[in-house]
Amino acid sequence: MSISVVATPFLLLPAFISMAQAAAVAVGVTGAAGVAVNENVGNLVKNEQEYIKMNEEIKRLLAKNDGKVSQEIIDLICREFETVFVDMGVLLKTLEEHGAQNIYVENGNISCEMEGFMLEFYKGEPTQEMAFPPYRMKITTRCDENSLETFIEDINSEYTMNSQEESYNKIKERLDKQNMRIEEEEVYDDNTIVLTVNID
Amino acid sequence: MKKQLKITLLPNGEIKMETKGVKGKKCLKYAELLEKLADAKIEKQEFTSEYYEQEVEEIQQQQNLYE
Repeated sequence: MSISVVATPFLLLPAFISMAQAAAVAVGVTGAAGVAVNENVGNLVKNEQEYIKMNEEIKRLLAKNDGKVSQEIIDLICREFETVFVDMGVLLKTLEEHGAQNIYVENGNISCEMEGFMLEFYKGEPTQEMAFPPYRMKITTRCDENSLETFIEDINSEYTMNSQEESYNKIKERLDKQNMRIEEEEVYDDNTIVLTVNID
Repeated sequence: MKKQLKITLLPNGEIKMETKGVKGKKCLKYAELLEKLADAKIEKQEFTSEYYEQEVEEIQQQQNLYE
C-alpha cells in the first residue's frame, strides 16, 4: 500500500467532539453542577441536589414575578451545547427516527420536542476557518444531568450512524457513475463497512 | 500487484482509505477522489514505504538522465 488517509465527511464537525465531552464541558461552564457528568456516585447526588436547588430557585422567581416566566428563569433553565451535527437533512432524519414531534424548520434552524425535552438547533455564521459550522443545541426544558447525558449520547450515536449511511450511499453512487467497480463489500460486527474498489 | 482502494466507513462517521499497488505520487489523486466521493475533508494522511520506494526510483531515473 502506498497511502493511508483519514477523512471526515462534511456531515460531521471536522474536529470531532463527542457529545459526552460537550455535555461535561457545558456543565462546567454553566456551573449548574460544577462537575463532569456522571463521574461518580457523589457527583450524581450532587447533580440531584443542584436540580432540586434549581427547581426551588424557579419557584422563587415565579412567585416574585406573579407566576410569569421571566428572562431570569429562561436563562436558568436553558442550556446550550456544541454538537457535531452539520447536515440539516441527516439531523432531521435522526430527529424523526428518534421520535421527535412538532418539528419546525425556519431559516435552517430546527426546533422540536423529544423525550420531554424542548430542543432548538441553530447554526452559527460560517467563518474562514469553518465554512460549515455545526449546529448548536439549546435545551429549553428543565432536566436532570443523567437523563440529559443519555439523551445526548443517543442522538449523537444515531446521527453518526446516519452520517455513515449517507457517506456509504454517496460513495457507491459516485463510484458507479465513474464506472469504478466494487470488488468486495464487508460489514463487520461493529458496523464498520469496508469497500474494496478495483482501480486497474 | 492488483491496484485497489480500500475504503473503510467507521460507525463514528469517519472514513479511512488505503491504496494498494499504487506507486509514488499517483496515490495522492485517490485522496482527492475520496474527498469528492464522500464530500469529505482529509484530516490525516500517511505515506507508506511503497510511496518512498517509488520516490527513490524516480530520483534515480532523473539522475540517469543527467549523466
